[in-house]
Amino acid sequence: MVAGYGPVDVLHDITLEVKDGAIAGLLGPNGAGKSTLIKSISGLTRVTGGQILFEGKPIQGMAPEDIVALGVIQVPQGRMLFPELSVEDNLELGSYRQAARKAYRATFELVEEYFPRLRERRQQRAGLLSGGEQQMLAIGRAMMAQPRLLILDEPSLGLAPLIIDSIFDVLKRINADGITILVAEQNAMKVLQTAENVYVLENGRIAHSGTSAQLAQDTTIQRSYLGI
Amino acid sequence: MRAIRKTLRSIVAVAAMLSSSTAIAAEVGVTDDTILIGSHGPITGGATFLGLGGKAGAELAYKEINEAGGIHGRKLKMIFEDDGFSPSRALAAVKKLVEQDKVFMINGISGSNPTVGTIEYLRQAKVPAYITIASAPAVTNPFNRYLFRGATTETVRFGELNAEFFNDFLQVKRVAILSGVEENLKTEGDETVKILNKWYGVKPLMRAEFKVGDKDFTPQLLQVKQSNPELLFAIGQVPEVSILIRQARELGLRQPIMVAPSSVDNTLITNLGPNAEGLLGLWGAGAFLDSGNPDMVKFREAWAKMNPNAPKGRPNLFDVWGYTEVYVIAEALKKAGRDLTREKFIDALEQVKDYRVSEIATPRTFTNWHHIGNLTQQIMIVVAGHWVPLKWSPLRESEVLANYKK
Amino acid sequence: MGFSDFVQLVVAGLSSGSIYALVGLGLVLANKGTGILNFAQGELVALGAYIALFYSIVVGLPYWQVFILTLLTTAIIGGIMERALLRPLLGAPHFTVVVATLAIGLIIKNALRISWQEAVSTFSSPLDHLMLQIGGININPQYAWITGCSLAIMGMLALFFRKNLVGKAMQAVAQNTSAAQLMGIRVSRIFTLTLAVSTALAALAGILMTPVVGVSAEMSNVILKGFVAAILGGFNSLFGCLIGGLILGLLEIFGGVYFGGLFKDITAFVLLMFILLVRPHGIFGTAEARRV
Ligand SMILES: Nc1ncnc2c1ncn2[C@@H]1O[C@H](COP(=O)(O)OP(=O)(O)OP(=O)(O)O)[C@@H](O)[C@H]1O
Ligand SMILES: [Mg+2]
Repeated sequence: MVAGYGPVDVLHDITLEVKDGAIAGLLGPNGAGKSTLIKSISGLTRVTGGQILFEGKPIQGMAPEDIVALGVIQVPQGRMLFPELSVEDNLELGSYRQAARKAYRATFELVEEYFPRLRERRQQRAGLLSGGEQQMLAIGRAMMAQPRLLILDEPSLGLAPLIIDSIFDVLKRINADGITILVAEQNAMKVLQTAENVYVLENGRIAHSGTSAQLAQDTTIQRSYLGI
Repeated sequence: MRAIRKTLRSIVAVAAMLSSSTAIAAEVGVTDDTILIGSHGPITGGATFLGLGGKAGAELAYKEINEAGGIHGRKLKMIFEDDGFSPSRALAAVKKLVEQDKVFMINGISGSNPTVGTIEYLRQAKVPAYITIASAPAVTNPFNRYLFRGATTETVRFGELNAEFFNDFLQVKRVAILSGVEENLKTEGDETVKILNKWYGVKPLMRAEFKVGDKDFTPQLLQVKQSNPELLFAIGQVPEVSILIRQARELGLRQPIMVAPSSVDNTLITNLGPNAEGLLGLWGAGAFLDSGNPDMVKFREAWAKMNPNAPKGRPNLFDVWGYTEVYVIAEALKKAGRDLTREKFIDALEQVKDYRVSEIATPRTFTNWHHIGNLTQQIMIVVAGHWVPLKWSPLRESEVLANYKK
Repeated sequence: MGFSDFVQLVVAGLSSGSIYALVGLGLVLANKGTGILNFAQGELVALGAYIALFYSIVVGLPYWQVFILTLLTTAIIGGIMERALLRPLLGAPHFTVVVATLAIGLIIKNALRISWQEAVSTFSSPLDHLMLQIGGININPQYAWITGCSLAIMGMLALFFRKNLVGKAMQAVAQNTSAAQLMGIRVSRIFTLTLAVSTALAALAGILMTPVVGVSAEMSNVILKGFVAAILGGFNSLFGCLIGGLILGLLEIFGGVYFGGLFKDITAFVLLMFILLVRPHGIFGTAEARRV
């Protein structure tokens, strides 16, 4: 797959696969192209070549809202909450699609079970939440859309280690509940602990790929790409 | 051969031109069966109420006159140019009419500003111009043989009539005046103040101004209220004056209100409903637009027949004037005789005395020392939702004409 | 000034203030929702009034039907305007969009002048020529209706934004367009809807104003007052606009009384300059980062 912004291609010859029911990791330093890749999947950037298949069907070139309708849901980098709306309203907007709205009550309760903190903050404006709470809300909001594939872009960004741990715990629970996950991170340790397959992105190309176990043993890769 | 024939032809042409001055051939714009009359007025832009009305009225008159056989066997034909209420376009229109269309005369149906721009040119071209509407003093002052004003009258005359009416009929001395800041509105206020002082030694209690487009007059009206007048004189256009009067009543001003001629119109009554009752104002034609006067009924019916898809609010005052003034022109053409020249036509116009086509007009008089056709204005009052004439006529002689007597 | 004059001034000031608030709200809504600063908003006020005039005079409908139909018609016009004229400019430089809206305004204004040449300049409402007398004070019920109706519609709009999912989606798009897209919100539809609502708000101002001030293409000048109201309110909230409009309405009318009628308009702009110098984010606005 090839993709980019305007006339510039940022991603070249990407081949990446996320197995149904698995957690896949996407690692890479600043500016490697992780966000670009994720935005391409969601239909927010221009895909200039290749194919993106979801459950066997091509989705490249589709409008973002149609991709959402298929159950491919993104938690964008930097949370991108609706800061002036309440926590509850943010969650409600997560289930904006007709299909998701039907199961609104049940999903809402499920999300509050994943993140009990959100229950306490229900009426608060999203912009006033702490960083960790905001990330919880962003994931919760995505869960409201009843994803089949949940894509997270640097969920650990700017958070304290303890919070990061609890967020990754929830991701595991979500995955255990049957939802496929793709998580992009600079924080390699956390991903290697959580994901099964991992791809390493470097200057818009896949530099390496393999299981977490393989990568965890390959110290050269860790040193040169992941800064561990 | 060809060259000789060409020369011969030009000699004949020159001879013909020379002989025309000895009145063998007819005057410019006059043929055996037609007299060409050039007109201009705004039928696009912001003052279409004036041009559209004036034009439709004139067309009706021409149609009637021609159907009755024309004047001395000649039909009258109007060539109309849109001037968009712009002085430069009006001048261009008049030049085109005179130089290209070679009309016999001009009948101006535009406003003051566009008309004033054409005066100098007409004077120099020695083309008779009968100005139907424009009230600017420059049209008739200083006196000039070629320019006549028909329907409107000079602002000074409004001042005289207002002052005399206040003192003689209403017998009020405590007057408050609100006027628009625009030239013609302000001048009417100025003239009224001047004459009130000169004739009666009365000074207005207060004067304040407003702008076109103003929607709220409370500040000015509170000043009026404070001065506690016996009469409020509101000089403006219909949209502003409508709001002004309504707000005056809201603020508890119960005094009589006189409006300027520019708002003596049925729209004012539509806008104000019961608040219009008792309003006073000057009307520059004969019977009012919706009156049952037989002449007006006849005019309305003829007008409606010719303008079947007419918008509401028409015919208006300008339709009436467009119509009545063409009849004044026709009257002078009749007097001038079959052997028509521009100079004879002017002489004939100067003989017109107390002429009107019917009771929808006021009488017109011109002399060889003034060309102000109309000094008569009727005081109107709103009764039961209609403008009706008030039984009052001025007694004092107008000083307007004194300026022209040598 | 007596007590009854004072009350009348307050009532009149509040009513013109609520008109300013409606105009300002339309501006803020379009700007927050789509990033467009719509300089045609004033002409849309006039357009609404003319459409109402058309339904009332030409079609001959009663006031209430005129009211509803005009709001619907102008909402559709606003939507079409977004689709056909503004959507193609999405992503164009700010200045281009501003010029485009100015051009739309000029076109509307001239089209109105050309297409309506009848002398009648107002349409009737059930409250025409009535006068409320409360304890010897005359109050024009139109004023009460203007204020009440504006407040009611703004209240309904506030409820719509607070309670309705589509209303929330409109806010979401305003606060973060790409996040809204990621929620599956069809942003283009929300843009269309936002302009439909803001156009209908302009038309509402036009309809409400008409029985008091009459219809004219020059009604469009009210955009300046709308701007002042919106800026006073911080240019970002419904409530801010409302308070900004009411303050302006009152200051203007009392300013006129104390400094003279011809200085009325100046009052508004002196106030605007003052606010911009002293509190550039309006009375309620905070120095929030601008949306990018
Ligand atoms: N909107 C944009 N327009 C043009 N170029 C962009 C845009 N966004 C990102 N880029 C460029 O694309 C390249 C990849 O950026 P991207 O955001 O995908 O990296 P990333 O791996 O997500 O980095 P980070 O870890 O900092 O989030 C960078 O060179 C960046 O400058
Ligand atoms: Mg990134």
